[in-house]
Amino acid sequence: MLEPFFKNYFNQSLTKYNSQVDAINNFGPMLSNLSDDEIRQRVQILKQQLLSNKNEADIICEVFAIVREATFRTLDIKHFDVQLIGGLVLNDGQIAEMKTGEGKTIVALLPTFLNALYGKGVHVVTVNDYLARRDAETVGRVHRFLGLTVGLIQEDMSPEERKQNYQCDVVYVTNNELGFDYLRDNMAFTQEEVVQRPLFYCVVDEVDSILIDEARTPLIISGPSEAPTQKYLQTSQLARVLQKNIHYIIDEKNQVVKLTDEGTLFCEQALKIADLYSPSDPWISYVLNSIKAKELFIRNTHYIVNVEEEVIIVDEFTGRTMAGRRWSDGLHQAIESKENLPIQDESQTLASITYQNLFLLYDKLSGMTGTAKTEELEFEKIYGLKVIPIPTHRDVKRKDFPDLVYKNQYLKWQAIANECIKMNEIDRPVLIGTTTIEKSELLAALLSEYNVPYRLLNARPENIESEAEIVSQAGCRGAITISTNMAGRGTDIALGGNLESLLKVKLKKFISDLVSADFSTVLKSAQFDEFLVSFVPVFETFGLSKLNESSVREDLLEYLNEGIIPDRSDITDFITAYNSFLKERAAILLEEKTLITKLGGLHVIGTERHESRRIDNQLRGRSGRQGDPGSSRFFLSLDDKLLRLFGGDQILNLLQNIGLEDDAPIQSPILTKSLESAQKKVEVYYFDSRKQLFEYDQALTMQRNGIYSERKRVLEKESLRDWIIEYGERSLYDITLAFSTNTNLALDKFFALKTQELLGMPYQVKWESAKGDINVLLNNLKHQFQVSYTLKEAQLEAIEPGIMRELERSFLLQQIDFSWKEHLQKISALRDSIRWRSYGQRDPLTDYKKESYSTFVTMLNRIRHQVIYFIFRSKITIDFE
Amino acid sequence: MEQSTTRSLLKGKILKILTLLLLVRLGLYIPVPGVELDILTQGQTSNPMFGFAKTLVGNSFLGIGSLGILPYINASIIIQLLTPLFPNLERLQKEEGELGRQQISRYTRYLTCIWAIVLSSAIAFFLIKPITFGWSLKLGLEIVLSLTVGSILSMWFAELITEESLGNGSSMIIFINIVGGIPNNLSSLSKTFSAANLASAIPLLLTGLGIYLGIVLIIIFFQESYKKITIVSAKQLNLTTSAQTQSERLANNSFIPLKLNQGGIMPLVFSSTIAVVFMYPAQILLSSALLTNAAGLASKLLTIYSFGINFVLVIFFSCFYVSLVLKPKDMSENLGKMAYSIPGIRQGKETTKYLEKVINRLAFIGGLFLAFLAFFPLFVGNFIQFGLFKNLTSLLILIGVITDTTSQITGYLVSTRYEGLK
Repeated sequence: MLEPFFKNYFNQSLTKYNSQVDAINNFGPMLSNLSDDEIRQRVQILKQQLLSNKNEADIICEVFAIVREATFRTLDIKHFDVQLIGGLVLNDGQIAEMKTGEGKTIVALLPTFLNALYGKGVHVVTVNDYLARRDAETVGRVHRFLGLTVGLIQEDMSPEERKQNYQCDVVYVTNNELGFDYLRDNMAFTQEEVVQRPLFYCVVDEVDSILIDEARTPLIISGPSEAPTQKYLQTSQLARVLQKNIHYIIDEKNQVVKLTDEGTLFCEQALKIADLYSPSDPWISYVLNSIKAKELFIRNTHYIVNVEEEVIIVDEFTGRTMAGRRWSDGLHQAIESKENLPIQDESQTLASITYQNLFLLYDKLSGMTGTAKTEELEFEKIYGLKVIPIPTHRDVKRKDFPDLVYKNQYLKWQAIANECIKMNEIDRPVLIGTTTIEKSELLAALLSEYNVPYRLLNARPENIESEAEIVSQAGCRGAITISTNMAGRGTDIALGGNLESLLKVKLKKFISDLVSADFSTVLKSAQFDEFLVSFVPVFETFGLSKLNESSVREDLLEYLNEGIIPDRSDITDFITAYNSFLKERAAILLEEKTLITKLGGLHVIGTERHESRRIDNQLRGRSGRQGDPGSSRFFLSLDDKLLRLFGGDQILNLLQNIGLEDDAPIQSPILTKSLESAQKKVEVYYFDSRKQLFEYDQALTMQRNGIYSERKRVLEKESLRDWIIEYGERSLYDITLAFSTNTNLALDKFFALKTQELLGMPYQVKWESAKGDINVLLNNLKHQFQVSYTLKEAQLEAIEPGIMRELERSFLLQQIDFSWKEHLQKISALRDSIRWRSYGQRDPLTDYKKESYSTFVTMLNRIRHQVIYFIFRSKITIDFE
Repeated sequence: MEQSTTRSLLKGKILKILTLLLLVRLGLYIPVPGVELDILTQGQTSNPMFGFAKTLVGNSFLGIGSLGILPYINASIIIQLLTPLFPNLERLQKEEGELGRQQISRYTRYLTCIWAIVLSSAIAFFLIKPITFGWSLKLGLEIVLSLTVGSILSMWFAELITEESLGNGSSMIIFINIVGGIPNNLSSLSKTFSAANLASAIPLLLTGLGIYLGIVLIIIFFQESYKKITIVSAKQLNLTTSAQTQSERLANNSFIPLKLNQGGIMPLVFSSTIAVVFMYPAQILLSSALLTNAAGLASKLLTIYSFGINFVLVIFFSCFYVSLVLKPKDMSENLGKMAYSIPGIRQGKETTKYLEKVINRLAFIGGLFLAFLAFFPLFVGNFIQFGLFKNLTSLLILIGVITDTTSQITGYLVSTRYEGLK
């Protein structure tokens, strides 16, 4: 009944854009007649127009048309009308939901180019370095073609490189790098160290992954802090002896462990201490962390251990490693101790921000993904982003088979292996998604047993190297690809394989191999396969000596990316060979593709339901791109984590009623439905916790913004003298005010001491005069302060001119950073303990807001006071040598 | 910019709440079709059930909003009391997060609907029928329908108000109903005095006012009092390396506030309902005596008896209610799970025992206080006819809503204060 109404509504939001699409199409013929240079000139004119009258609406259609034309000229792809709509949606600061293979990256070109014309820098945010590089290299060509600069931020870049790249018009960057650069910028000690420009506009690719899945984990920059590593060693030994359900209880759902009374006693005896909780020698957190490390954190699932003997976290949602990130509060150390690795220093948070708050700093935010509709409410409520589904260019023809549920893990994995064999017999490509590295390797071992060829993609360093190659071949005939969640996002699996990217990967590797090894041995080596054979003659005439020059090598790779043939005969040969090879192979590729299409396209196998339906949908979405056929099926088992923890009585009852025969899978719509409701339950649960996080974070956000903008002003300001004077006067005011209202005589001495600190000298304060009216005393003190300060300044400047301004700045920055660090710690403790307020029927959030505010004010006062104190205390010693 | 948006947001919230409250009030003045307006003023006040309804509703003729928020409040109380008794419900509330809470509020709504039908039927068939001339079944059903719809609307408005997160919607509706009744009280007050000599009345009036203000202060003090149980987390214990000293660490904001009056008005609500059960037999027993010449003694006995019963019941229910909502075992388990401990007390059984002791004492003292507060105004009320004196429940609700909402608003306004800082 409601369907027509909704349909209408749905169309309405898009009809708004249809007239704009028509206008863009009208520019088409005119633009196609212009030369490349003429188009670039046109861009400059439009840019001037935008900067002078600030009216985007006037030029948006023409700009989009120009980008479309430029894309056609550089990449040989033309935006479909629906892609133009996607671009318009993004430009309106909304989320465009587009299915996989609909060319999200080239859609993003449209709004990024338009907004880059403002010259304030536009960010395209991706989930990993590989995607950022790929996008910057491929679609970045369009921006470069039209005269914009394109920047790329990668993990291993130096601050100088970063700064240079952030200055570009369009910057491709991962969310991770973006966040850490932001935090580091706000810890910079000079203006030169700041790498980012103010955040202006960004398009977030895989927006649900970044703003929802990762929203809960804050980015943290931490500094070392000492910790007794010995304790970890002892407790992790102890944890091995402790028994589950006797000494401790595990709440898997909430990820917490609790010692029983027996366990507490046992630990105290084993550690030969009287009280685990003793404030002078606390053990409890070490014990709990060690138990957590033992029970809840599993190697190759939650983390891997690399060759450098470090514990590296594996992201649950993306399946990728998160190098450099550490679990907080001693958990990481407990795991290191469990794995018998060297225990690294404890860390203390110096700065932190959640993605939620980071992205809200942009003037305009937009995003795109294949799966946003299920989280529509959250986007709207927290980020104010509407989700607008963009129709697919061609209809999705993928078949999603109902889930098969097995009695136990063993039967499930057997069935999966059988399915792989079955598909392999008819040469159909298969992609198997697993949830952890461990499980991906389990399946790999199983398939090896059956002699089925496969490729394995997971976060292990040796596998990650060949990621691009594995993905480009996953759509080939008979290919079986086992992957963790890594394949869930940003991978476009083309049926028949993606020849161009495969070839590029191989050539790159080949060229770098050539330089490091002997030419002839590389040619003969086993790695040298059919793709490269046709290049042998070219390389031979090209000559090894030339390749040895790194500049030539880089040029070569760049030309491959740009596809622009330079006027250099040696390189032209190479490019021609490359192109002719591609053309030659294109026909074969097409044949392959039709064959695979006939077989049914890519088959996706899911091995476990994830907590979030989106992650499952992402995996399914790998198949059936651009109207290709495909299918998907999930193989589940009753002891899967999701079913175990969130299935509830409903599923158990159901199974009892059905009665389970040994091997036969259950395939029931009711079961699928209750599975989905279990997932929904989890989703709502996490949404709730994210919403709470957000509400609580708002106070801290305001504080962070305050401190950071103050810090920024400190960096930018020429002289801070006026400020420092003002700080001093303000502190004196606070003290006299506090004094005049104080009745406790014992505290008078304390006030006197504080005042002396502020005046930098012993000073007999006539407090009695303040009891009546503080103004007289205050004016005296202020005067005294200014005199002292000027004196100190003269004294120091006489020894080294200019030193005072330097001291002021560095003391102030130091104090801000130090106090902020302490403040973060206090706030985090407050956050933890505030929930207990609800026992007294008080609203924890309200209490939190009030108390965090007063903590913040205390911190500000402290900063002001300390800066003055340090300046007065500083002496310059001169080395007479 | 920040400041103005927060303020305008708050303005919007307050405006929305006021509008909703106005609508609720309006419901009281839309008469139920077919029922004479002044029907309730005619001697129906002796019925205790309806009397209670009247205090909550604050009006004396049958409007479609007459039943109002009452069924919703009853349903919430019933569900709240049932939750610890049924493991299924308890799991929904504790473990299933937001979705579970939604489920519970759904149950509450169903119960409200059913209860509203029951109550409105009772009103229609037992109160209205005997005193209406043109009675018909159709009229009865119309009354049931109007009252039920009215109360479901009130429920909806209450939820909408709660959503604005400036306080509980149902409490606010009761609040506005009580406030709405004040003019009536005042007029009855003025009646008491108009007959007497005004000059002699003034000192009395002033004393009354003074006592009244004193009671309000005592109630606020009583409502807001709590015992701080200091707790310390494993994480905090570990911060020894930082600049914080031991004393600083302990003098922080981690504590569990245990309220002196944890139950709020609940013990009063329970006891006044149950007291009727105890009073009834006594009344029958003594009713024969009332006709004899020992009437004076009998009525005195009855008063003392009712007094004692109420007093004991309030204390009992204060303890009972606290035992329902605060479970020392759960609390100590939660402390363990979150790795918190009470300094100086071992985790596990010892903590449970300690909490038990503290909670029981608080509940008893709180109950005593509540009983005292409940009956002290009665004495005063004997010589000053001011309705508010008679009903402590209303006063507690009034004060509770005001303090709660004020606290929420100031919490909300904290964010604007960041602007003034530098």
